[in-house]
Amino acid sequence: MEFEFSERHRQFRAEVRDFARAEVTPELFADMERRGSEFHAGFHAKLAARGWVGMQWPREYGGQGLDNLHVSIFNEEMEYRFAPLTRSRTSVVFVGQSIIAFGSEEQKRYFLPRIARGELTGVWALTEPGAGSDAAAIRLRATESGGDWILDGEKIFTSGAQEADYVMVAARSDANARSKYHGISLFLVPMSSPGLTVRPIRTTGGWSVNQEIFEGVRVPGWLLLGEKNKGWQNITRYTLNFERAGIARTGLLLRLGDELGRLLHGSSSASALQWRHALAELRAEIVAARWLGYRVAWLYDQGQVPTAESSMIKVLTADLLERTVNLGTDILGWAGMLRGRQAPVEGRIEFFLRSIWFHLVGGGTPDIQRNIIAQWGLGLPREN
Amino acid sequence: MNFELNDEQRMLTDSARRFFEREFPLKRLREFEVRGWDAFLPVYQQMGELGWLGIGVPEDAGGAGGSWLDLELFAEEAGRALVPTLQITSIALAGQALVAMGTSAQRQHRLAELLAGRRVIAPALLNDSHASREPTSGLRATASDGRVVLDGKLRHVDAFAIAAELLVAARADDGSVTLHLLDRSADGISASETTLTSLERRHDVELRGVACSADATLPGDWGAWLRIADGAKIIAAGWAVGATRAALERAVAYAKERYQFDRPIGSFQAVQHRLADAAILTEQATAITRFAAWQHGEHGHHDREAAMAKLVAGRAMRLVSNAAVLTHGGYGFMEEFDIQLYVRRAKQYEYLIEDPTLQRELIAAQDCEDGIRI
Repeated sequence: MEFEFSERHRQFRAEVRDFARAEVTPELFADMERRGSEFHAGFHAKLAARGWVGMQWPREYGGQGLDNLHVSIFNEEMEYRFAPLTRSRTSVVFVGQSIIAFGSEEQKRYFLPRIARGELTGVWALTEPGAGSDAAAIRLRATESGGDWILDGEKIFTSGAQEADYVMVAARSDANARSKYHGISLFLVPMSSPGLTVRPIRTTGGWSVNQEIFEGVRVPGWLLLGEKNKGWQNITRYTLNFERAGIARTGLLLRLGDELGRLLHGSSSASALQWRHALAELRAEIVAARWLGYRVAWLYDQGQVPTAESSMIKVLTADLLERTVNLGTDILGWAGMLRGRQAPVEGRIEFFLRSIWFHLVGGGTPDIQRNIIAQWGLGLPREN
Repeated sequence: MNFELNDEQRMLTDSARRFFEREFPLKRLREFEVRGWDAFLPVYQQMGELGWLGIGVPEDAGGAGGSWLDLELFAEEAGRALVPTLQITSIALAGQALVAMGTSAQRQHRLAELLAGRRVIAPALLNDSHASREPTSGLRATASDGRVVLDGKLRHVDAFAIAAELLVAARADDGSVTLHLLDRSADGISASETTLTSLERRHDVELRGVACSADATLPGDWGAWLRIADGAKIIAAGWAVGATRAALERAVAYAKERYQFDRPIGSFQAVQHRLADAAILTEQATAITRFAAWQHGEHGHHDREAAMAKLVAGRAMRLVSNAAVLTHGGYGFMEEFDIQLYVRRAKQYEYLIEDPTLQRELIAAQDCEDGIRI
């Protein structure tokens, strides 16, 4: 057991830090705000040019063959600057990693290099109006038709679908399967497909997620992802774990902890003195979460898929973010409720205050994460 | 980076776990609660014979070698068995002070016995009920005929009854603070016994004109002592991490076997979620404590990470042992059930060496960017 970063890891951190300092600019955020989007194509292209989109993939598929600690370092340094990473994360971690884990060779050769070059982005659609936490209660239907598939139904709360090229969809391909956990298949669907319409749903954070209506959407047979009717088994074994481990918010937490520390340090106002110990405890928990996060990344590098730990790091960092933002508002008072980048801490305290549920609920509610930890991690029995 | 125990660490923790299961099961802990040190010292001396009391003490000083992380991993096993924290008191604090601050003459006739578990030195540094990082010693040192005469009061001294010597800090007339080793049976020392929640005994001690020879003064300065306290805090955090994990495992086992409403209570989400949170706290505390121990061993003293480990591990112990008691319902606080043994030590572990308020202050007082530290 040893916790030293290698020289390669250190150099990589320095490189990402320099890039983030130079490239994550106020203009970038102003541009995204104007368009009501959490995605910036120009910034994404720069990440791709550096080889950082899909850096953890094998070189033959356009990646750099880097380990997950590199990915953790990248996320940490980028989030420390509030860089917009959502789409590269959905493309690489949700869609790309799933293709690597259970996709066909043809799919790997087609999708991965394009994602890595920044030419193609993907999003992930699991949730339906009637299938939220009960995610396997999928009704969107997939019917085989002459080697193709026809999709009919509805998905909801898909981040980024309005601008993405492909959506990875979970659909019910066998209506007579022995349980709802069987007979689900995954498809990679071009967003330009006839019969697929997108309606944006605005979040409290100001950006939009989407509802997608599938009406007789024809999907070529080669875009079936993974074995037919084994979709649920694949996503619970791979995709959902990648998703949870990948959305650890450590970099964000470290930044907010540092910012709030600066606000309090040296201030002798009664209110500053009131909050310094509360912040100190949070910062200790954040550093502890950082090392738990590195451990989860390392476990993936050992070829393991640590289900319970992935849920732990997700629910822990989201809870810490909620507590940090709440404390930040208490430290700032009314100024912590002001909208806009002119507000203290670039308006981030207020922004997270009104959008924290994206982090808490996205990728599975805290309640579901705790079920997973209890049942998969601690071996406690299911209720039924 | 490697989060897995190496072969030596696995051998150490496996053999420590087997040893404590055999030699210090909770039944022995209950005897210790009633009979005091007599019920533990034979085990402590065996720990000495096995070389475990010398882990983290350099071999050229007579120790067993091994890294600070090795010692922390061993502490997790001791904490899992709720082994009394005498090793922290007498070795991680007093023994390390001898190594780092003492003269070779001071080490020579003490250290070997200390590491064998045949001698105990009891640090006595509390002037009231909260630890302090400031050298505001309640003891006054007066020089007289080449000797030092000490006067004052000390509180909550661990292991007083079995200590050969006390390690005290005293303030001289010129304001300087130095550490002294004091024969516990010296004239002028009186003590009264108190009992903690854990049923461990502590002593309030009064010194009246106690003379100690000048060669019992440790030459190192107060800053050196703080570095030792910081290292020992990480070991105390390791103790708490081990105890926390054991409390969690007991609660999970009980939730699987206890039936209500015709099903195991562990199938109810209310119970599952409480234990899931307990599991997160346990992993979080493990992560920071192991890192802090490794950092202390490899890169020297870092008071911030030591404070963070102590704070997070103590908090985990308090919250998880409480969750474990709640899982046991009414049985949770019945003396005949074992889970109360953990919760009755939670606050004590949180206060070992330095209390949580002081850890928060240590973290808050530094103008520090965690984001760029690493």
